[in-house]
Amino acid sequence: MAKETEKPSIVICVDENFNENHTLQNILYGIEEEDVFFLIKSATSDSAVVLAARAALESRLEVGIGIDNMGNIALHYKNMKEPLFFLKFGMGVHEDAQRSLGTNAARLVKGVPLIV
Amino acid sequence: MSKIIVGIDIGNATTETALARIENSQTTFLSSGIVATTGLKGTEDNISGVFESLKKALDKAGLELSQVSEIKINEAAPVIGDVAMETITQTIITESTIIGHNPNTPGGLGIGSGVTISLEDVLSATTSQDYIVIIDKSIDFEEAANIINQATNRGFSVKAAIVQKDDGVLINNRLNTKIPIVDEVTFVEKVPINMQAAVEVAAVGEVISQLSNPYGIASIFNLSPEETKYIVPIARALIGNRSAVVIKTPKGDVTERIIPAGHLQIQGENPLINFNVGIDKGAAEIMKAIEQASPLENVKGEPGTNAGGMLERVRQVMAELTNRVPSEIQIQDILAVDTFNPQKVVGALAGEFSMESAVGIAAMVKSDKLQMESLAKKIQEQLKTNVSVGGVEADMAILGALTTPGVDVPVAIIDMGAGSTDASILTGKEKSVASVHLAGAGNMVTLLIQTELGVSADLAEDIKKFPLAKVESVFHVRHEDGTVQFFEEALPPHVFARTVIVRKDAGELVGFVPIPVNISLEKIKKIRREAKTKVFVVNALRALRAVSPTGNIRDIDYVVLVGGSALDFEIPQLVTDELSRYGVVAGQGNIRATEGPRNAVATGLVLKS
Repeated sequence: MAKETEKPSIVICVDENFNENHTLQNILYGIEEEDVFFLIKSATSDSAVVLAARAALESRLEVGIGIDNMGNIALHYKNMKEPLFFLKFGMGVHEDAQRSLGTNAARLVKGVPLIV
Repeated sequence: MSKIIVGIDIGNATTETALARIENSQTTFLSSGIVATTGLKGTEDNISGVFESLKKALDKAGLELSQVSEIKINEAAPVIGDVAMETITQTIITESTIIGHNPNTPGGLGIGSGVTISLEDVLSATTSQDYIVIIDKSIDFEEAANIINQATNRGFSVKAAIVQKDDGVLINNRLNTKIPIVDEVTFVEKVPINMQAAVEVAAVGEVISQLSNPYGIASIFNLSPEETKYIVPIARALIGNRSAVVIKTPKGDVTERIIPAGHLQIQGENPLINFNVGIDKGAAEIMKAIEQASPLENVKGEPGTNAGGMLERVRQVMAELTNRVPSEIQIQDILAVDTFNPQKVVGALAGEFSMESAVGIAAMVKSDKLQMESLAKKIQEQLKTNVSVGGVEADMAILGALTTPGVDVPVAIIDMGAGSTDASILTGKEKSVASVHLAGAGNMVTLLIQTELGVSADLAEDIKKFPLAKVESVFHVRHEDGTVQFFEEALPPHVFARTVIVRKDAGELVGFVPIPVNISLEKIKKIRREAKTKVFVVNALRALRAVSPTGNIRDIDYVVLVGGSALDFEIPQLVTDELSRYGVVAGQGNIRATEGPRNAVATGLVLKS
């Protein structure tokens, strides 16, 4: 569960076997431009959805992002049953889409209209 | 001896039917029908709508068409209301001098001034002066920050930045020395190079103070008192922004000019009374002339203007309907309304809008009974039933309105439709009826909302019809009255944090429609209510003044509101509230105690027979 001592941040759970750095970086840029704190945690799971749900539970802002070992990304809001956004890794995934996912995570926290 | 009588009211928006059995001069209403009017009111295209509406009523009553002994249709005759907008001011920025826009997340803080230079050139610049760097979308924010840092290290002084992408915060976070950064500038390539410029970014929750102040701009650019006079429109245009750029170009200028919008020639029935009013004088002047000249003989517009074109279009349509020449068609009434029209600023760099003054005009032509009689004949041929034209619409509406429980003579009605606002009055036992048809109703409200918000006609129609809400989380919305509603299922992401229209059908929530413009709920609500007030409250007063035996609204005791727009969730309240100031009891009608404010004319047609 969320620790009261941590800064209110969006938590990003990244599978420890996922080594490609740009994906995470692009998401972080999106969050940074919106001026919201984030916290990166390492975990193991082959499901981005599971990681995102875990991240959302650990986030004091109730918003979590999960990146699995394949590079798939999910954005989860704590009280929801299903992830809000899911981005499959692979050819054709533009870095703008990854950055937008980060932006949307931050905007979800801020209560500002999302990029859809 | 019993017979089945049907009253059918063909309106601008709906075709309504009342079906009754008359037995020993006792009238019993059996059912009603309502469908959307097919085609333009008063034309042959209406027939399929008439048939549909009639069929609905017959089905409900379990009757056949062959059992109907008589059909009465309204003598509304084509009351064509059309609306047009004439913008009367225009803001022009010559030589691109300002960028005043509100990116969501500008970078840095404060004000910086210097000479504009593109980022690629800053490292090879020779003169040591203050610079403002321009960063186009081909440059990555990391690289941009790197170059600015290098330049600063080498002793170049970079005071601010203008960025094309949404990178302001990202660049700022990577700078050793913080500078104000305006981002999301769409047409960054149009920013002139090697010109004096200033960039200001205010803190979160604050607005810029230097560049929105003429003397602030004068201090930065060392302007003479004469030059300061010219930059007043720039400063004014920037008030309320969180970030802005001002560039001093040799011939740069922002001007507001009045567009010649043409004149309206207003001719009263009295040949001695005629006025020639400039549209740029605004709605108040036009309406004053209309009031002084009424009853009107005709109104003409100047060719080549929107309003002139609109009046001509109304004549044209009407002429085609009635097989007459356009010059014979006379405009009976006009409603002019002051409004604003957001227009893209000519020469602007970030796609800025400026609220320009405009005048909206609704017009109406004199009705022609012959037209309706030929329509009645055609319906008769198709239905093989006796069809005739009943009385004047407003008079029928008042007969229908009298079936509202608690209503008695003397009484006035205001029939608020889509195309026109009609009123009539029934005074005392002698039952003398006076009536009036005025231009401007629901369609005009839609046009005003459409123009002021710069949205599509369909969206404006929805904004008019339904209340607003703000989606506050994925699970709850706050309605415009402050009440909160929670949902079991998560709301879709595209409505999150947006102002939405609460779309309902028969009282049931069918969904939320997001409003794509970045305008607050309060502002949209204000525009919506003002549009309704400008049309319906103004017309209610005009109409009652026209039908009151003394010309004074205070001499009317009871007013019943009927028509489609009387079903609106706030128009009846707005009108009732205003009329209470005149000591008039006004309220929404409830025709035959079952129909609400609808079906008044159709019911009146049956009762008249």
